[in-house]
Amino acid sequence: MSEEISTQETETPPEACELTTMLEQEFPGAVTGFHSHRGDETVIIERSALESVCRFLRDDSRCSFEIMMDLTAVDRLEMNETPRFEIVYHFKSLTHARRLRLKVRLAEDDCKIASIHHLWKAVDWYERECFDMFGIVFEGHPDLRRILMYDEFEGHPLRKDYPIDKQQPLVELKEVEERHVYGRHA
Amino acid sequence: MTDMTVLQSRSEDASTGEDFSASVMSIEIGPAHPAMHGIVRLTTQLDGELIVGMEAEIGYLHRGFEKESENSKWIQVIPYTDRLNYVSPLLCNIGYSMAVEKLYGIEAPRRAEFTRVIMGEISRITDHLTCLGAVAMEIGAFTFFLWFIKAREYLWELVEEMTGARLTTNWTRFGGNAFDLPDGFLSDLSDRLAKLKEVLTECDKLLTRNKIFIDRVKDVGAISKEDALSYGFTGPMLRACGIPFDVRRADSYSVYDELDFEIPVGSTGDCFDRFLVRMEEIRQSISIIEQAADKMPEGPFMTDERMMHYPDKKDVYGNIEGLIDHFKLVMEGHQPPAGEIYMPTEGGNGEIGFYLVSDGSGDPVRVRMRPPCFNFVAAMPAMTVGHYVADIVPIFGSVNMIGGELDR
Amino acid sequence: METDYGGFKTTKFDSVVNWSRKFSLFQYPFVTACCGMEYMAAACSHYDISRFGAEIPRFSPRQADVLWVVGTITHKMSPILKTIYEQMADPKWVIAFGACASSGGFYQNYSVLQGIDRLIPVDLYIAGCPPRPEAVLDGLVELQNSIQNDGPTANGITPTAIRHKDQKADQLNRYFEISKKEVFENLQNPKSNRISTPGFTYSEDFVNVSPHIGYDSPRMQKDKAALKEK
Repeated sequence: MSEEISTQETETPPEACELTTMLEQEFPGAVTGFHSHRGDETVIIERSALESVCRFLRDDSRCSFEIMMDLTAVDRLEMNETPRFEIVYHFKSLTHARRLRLKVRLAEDDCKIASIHHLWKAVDWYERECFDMFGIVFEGHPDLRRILMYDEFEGHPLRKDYPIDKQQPLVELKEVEERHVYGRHA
Repeated sequence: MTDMTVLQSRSEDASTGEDFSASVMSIEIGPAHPAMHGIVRLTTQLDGELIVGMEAEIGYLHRGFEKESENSKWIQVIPYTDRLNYVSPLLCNIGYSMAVEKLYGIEAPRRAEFTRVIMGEISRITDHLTCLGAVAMEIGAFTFFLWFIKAREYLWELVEEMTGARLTTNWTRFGGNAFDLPDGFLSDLSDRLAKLKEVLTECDKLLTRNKIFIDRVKDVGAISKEDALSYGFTGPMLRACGIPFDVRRADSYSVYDELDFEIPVGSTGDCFDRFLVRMEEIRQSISIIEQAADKMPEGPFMTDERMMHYPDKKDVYGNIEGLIDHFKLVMEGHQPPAGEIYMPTEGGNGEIGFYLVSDGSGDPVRVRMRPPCFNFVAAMPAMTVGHYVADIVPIFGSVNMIGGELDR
Repeated sequence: METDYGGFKTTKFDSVVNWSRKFSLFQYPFVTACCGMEYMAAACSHYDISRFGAEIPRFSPRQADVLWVVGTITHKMSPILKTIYEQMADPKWVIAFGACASSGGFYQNYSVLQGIDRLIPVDLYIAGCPPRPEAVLDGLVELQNSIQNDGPTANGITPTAIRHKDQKADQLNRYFEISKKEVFENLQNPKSNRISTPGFTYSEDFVNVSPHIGYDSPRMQKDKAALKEK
């Protein structure tokens, strides 16, 4: 089906890969993959290099990524890919008018990663949200607790193995008679 | 606790030398506080009326947008996006549809793009009207609020003409829009914009040079440029600090590069600057709408790509390809090619970024919306500590926290 | 002022009192989400709810008659809603405004309460997502009629509702009767692990987390027990 739709993937202009080459030179061995699908430059790095790479991205004048746009994770359980989690960082540079996506892959039984809250102040709450939704532990975070769910909630909702409507009510709820019944009458 | 900065108690310089230090009182400005602003719990530590510490707790409207999207088809997510930033729903619709179009790698036809610009800017105006109206009302200028809500009604009637709903529009589709311009829409548009400009001038006379208002909002909630960037501010909040970053100019999308508009920029980043920036943005949006309405091209409003648009009924019942396309689209949904993209667009509050991950099947793997006001509320303590309790109202109002977007 | 709600007898005095009650409703708008925008629109000058007497929102539950639950209520918010409802003095009415407050709306997931009537008794449901201001005003008029005819709620359910319950049940049964042939089931995402189908709400194994705040918390239970001893 997708062959009939023209993908019109643009040729990645040479400047877009400049960041990747720069990172590969500065941090040899840290970059494990990159792509530039639809023009979004993406670099996959090793977990151990995260803090130094982020500091480089913020401070070096060739990059100067002042804004940390987004910090989230992707659970790749249903795509049958290991390692299971992929932490995704989006950065924006105003001086160079450039964006970058940084990805770090984490295995399910070892989902800990260094926190970068000391580099950008926005990271604090985003890391809390990532912990709340996926269970990723950010080491060094001053106050890692749930932000969108309540503290008594057990489990991490955005993981693929959390059933979507498993509810954990906080207050004793009344049973309401079923309003209507769809589906097969078994 | 994070973000608690305890200042020295003032009463320690009492002349008798005794330490009358009042203990710091902890008060919760709890989730159920007066309407208009959604639900956030602000736990404040007060020394008399001075705020010495604050912590914001969110999540009271977490409705599981991302989890629900993973359990829907790509097109079923569009109604969920309406309810993200529910004062400017069309901007969220547009942002999401453009993100999926980027996944596919196609563009909507020009007429659709121009219509999207018009509806998006109308939505941006309603966002600013609601925000400024609420700020004014909570400071006490109730007339301003009523007039702005009346102006918002004019715009909502326009939105209803186009999309069928006032608030939850569900109007864009992948590759175009669901509905084209109705007859007489453009003339209605110019009438309403004229009325809106009248309301704007009157309201401007009410507040912009009003000493009472200025005293409440000037130098309140200021934040420096470096802090704003570090906190990830975007949108009117960042522009009020003096940084002219607008996604419509910086990462230009749709047909914004053909339209001529200015980016209003403040200087100090306090509440008054944010108010002025938003008022000016309303005027700029009106100008954009007028230009887009003038340049409106003829043509299709939906792409012709197979498996993107629902075929006309005469094709569905007429020939076998239409039937099969319709059947497959309804049963299996859209199937964008595998990949991941991030599409930044300018929402009412700032940069709405949709990060979508697709694996080639019809089921989304990850639909993520980057919420602009998440950063603002995270910075609330930094903006409020050191001010008085009465200053929480203009600061929180100017932040324009929208619960649906903050908690998703 | 003898009123017997069991037999629904009311006196002339009652009808005057109810008349004054219905035209001076003090609302507590418990606004959470998008419906709040339509609530604002209904309350402002274009649609003007104050011509029905329900003009001022009272932001203290002690001073309010009608609790307008506007918007989605999540589980995190439910103890707060319960507390606010308990703090209101009788007579009080509850309006479930919008689809999310009535039944959870189209959010059927881990965090949304599937209808506030699981928590507090509701007198009026206004459907819509969000309901048009005209629907809001229509609902308010219906509530006012119910206040006039039946007075304050007794045991959390209006006499109208008691009278109409059987009628309504018959109506619903007839409406939702599905014939014996196979019903087309919504093709959900095959990878989804949704454990309840539409029409059912809770799965068999939902976890009832012990509440630690609000009305049913251990602390409140102790207070209630202490009061009972006296």
